[in-house]
Amino acid sequence: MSIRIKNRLLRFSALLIIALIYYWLHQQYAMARLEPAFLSGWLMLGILLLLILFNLRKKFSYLPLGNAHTWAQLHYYAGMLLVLVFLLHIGMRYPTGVFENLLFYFFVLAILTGLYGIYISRAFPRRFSSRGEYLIFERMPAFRQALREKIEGLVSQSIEQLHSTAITEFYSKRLLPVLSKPQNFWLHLFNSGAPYARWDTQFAAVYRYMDEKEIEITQQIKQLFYQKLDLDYQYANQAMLKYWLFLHIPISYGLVILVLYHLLLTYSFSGGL
Amino acid sequence: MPDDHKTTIITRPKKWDRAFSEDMTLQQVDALLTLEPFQSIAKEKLAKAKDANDPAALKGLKDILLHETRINDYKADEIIVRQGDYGGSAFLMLSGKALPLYDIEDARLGRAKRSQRSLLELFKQRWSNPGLPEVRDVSRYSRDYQQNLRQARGPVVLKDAAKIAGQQKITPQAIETGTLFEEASAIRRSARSATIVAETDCRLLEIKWQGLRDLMNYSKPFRQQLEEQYRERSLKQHLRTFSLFQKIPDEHINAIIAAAVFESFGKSDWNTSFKNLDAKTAAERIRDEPLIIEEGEYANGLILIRSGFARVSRKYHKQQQTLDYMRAGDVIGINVLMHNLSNPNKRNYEYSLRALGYTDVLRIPAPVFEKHIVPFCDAQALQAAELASVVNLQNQQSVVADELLNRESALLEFFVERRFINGTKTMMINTDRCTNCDDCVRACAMAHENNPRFIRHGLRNDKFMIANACMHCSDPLCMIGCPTGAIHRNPTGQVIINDDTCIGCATCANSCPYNNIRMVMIRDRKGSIVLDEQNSPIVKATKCDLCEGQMVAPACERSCPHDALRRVDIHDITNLQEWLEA
Repeated sequence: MSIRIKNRLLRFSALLIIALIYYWLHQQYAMARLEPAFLSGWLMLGILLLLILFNLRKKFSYLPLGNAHTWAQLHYYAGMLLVLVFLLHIGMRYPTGVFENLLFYFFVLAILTGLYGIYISRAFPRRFSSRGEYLIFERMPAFRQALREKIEGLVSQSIEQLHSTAITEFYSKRLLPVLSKPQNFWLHLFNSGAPYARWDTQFAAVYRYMDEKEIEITQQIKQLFYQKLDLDYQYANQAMLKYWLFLHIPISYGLVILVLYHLLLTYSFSGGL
Repeated sequence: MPDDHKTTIITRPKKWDRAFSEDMTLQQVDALLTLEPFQSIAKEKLAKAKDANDPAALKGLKDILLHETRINDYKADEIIVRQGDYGGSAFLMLSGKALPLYDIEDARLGRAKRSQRSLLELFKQRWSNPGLPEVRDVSRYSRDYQQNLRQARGPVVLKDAAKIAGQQKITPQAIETGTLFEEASAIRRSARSATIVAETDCRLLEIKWQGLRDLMNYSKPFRQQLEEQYRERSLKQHLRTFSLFQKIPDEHINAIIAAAVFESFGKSDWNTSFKNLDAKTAAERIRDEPLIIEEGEYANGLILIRSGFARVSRKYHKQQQTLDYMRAGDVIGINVLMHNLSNPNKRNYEYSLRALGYTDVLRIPAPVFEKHIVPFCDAQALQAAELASVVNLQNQQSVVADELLNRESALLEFFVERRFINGTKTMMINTDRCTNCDDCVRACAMAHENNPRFIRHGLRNDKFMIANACMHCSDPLCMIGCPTGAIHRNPTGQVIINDDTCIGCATCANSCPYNNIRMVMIRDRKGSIVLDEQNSPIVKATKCDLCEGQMVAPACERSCPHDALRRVDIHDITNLQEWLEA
């Protein structure tokens, strides 16, 4: 068994033990006729704050606060514990009332975006090596522009040397509109081969109306154009890895605000304050 | 920016703008010319000059002495250099005596603590970091500021130096007047081999390694004299640092030294040819590497790497497969020589050894090995010396060995060919884990006044990327040409640029074979680009300093949430393995 699997099993076992201890405590509270929702509520708030601290730790990377990898692991496992505590807190029932519904959906969204984040941060990096050139996200527009200029160079060459109208037409009608910006964002995100298949067909179709020399140049254009498709693939996957946090973080902060308001309401109307 | 702000104009920094010591005078230089070795150098130059009375004949020598040396006075028991510190200068004893001492505990050596920002300063930097890139406090470049800084540093005394000298395993030989010492560590950019303590009050001439280099270029006899001195004096000490030679009695060591053959392969400025690497095929690159021993050749001796690196390869199909690499202190050939001692069926060398860049080796002939080494080491210890010294990956069963020796990904070939084996803190990114979140870049910028000191991009092999970050090389080529010594090694071996003394000549950036040094235009505190009198921007060299002065380091590695980035020494297999498997 690899060290990675061993570590993962160890962490899951620790999580399971903590969850069981908490479940037992929760039952004890209920049996003692105490309100277990107070226990789970406060624990949830504590876990939520711990989860948010991960983002703050990133901003103070130069302070001796432990390394980010440990924090990330803590973030994932504490998030899982939070789901269990949440389910016990709401008594495994769908909430009633507008505010509770809002709170519920914010929670679900925060968890779902978090899980999606874990999935893409594990699965997507391998995609970067599988197709196209590994590029820094910010350099992609420049690379796209360079590809476009190379293709335009070949088109000009076809006009000057071959007086080709087929290449010019194909370029201006089909290629030009898609060369200036990323395309097929969602298809690439789902690792679809459809964009490539579609363009295979289009290139095959245009070869019919070309002579050998034109086909030769068009094949060079195709090679460059497929680099653009690869670039779009890289762009889509890198963009998602960059931007999913723009969903997860605001939702999580929103959830904390709602939870604090919920706490205020609970204590205001339960005589707890 | 407010309209009334004036552009900062400073004098463009030049070599020898700032002498090693402001106190060095021409009278002192003239006095030095009456002492050896400078007297001989001067005589040689005057003999060659058309007019021996022409004062310009010795101008070069005088300039070096005026700008690259300083006279230091030490009281008895004061420490002159400490063992393990990285040497940036050599010393000439002008008067008095000093003692070389070994293996003294750190606490007694009074090592300066790394200047570290306080917790409050660290906390503040989030808000106090400048908004614009490469902002500097220009007043630091003034002469007065530097003078005050130097005066603030005080002497360090080793108490009971005489008593410690008496307890040393080998009785230390005093360094007498007229002796040039610590030149080897200065030239080789390596750690000091001994702690030198003033035995009596002494006066020393400290020569910066740049000055020593200039002197060696200035006078060929001086260069030869230094090289011979190294062979005579330092080699014994050097050999003693290898476990293989530690138990061998003195007379046998002397016999080994007498019989040992010194060989140098390649060029010390290998970075120039290295930059054309991509123009050659893999086979051509290996063919161009100078051969030290060849597979199938008669095993006539033991090879010990003194400095540099060497590739261990074996024939595979029609080409060579890299099995391993060797670096300073590694030995090869023990097993085959041991086999040949006791077996009538003699074996030849089983692999080829090629110099990577520049390699200094010591060849100990087989009969000398048999007579002066074997009787003092048991067979197991001998074999262990070879096993411990080379990485010996082919004998290991581990994830890291699989990764490195996998013929399809050829990771070891990649490390060796691209000379990443030179790095001690190479930034290695596992692209299967890296999400391109740039937390590492942001953390680096935060620790360096909003200026990231690396580029998260670089050469890739399979899933590993070596990012453009200073690798803090064991052989830092960037230091070779620096005219002012601004780029130097700190006591812990990290390669650091002193921004105050950098003149922006870009020699280091051009010398770095890995393109890990960036030249940047600097700004003053108000955000204006700093210019010289000709209105040309002042530039400075910048690179990763491993977060010098920060409480936790390096920020890049610590800030990666996916454990995708590590600062690695490829030689440190255990650390690498732990990371690959985690």
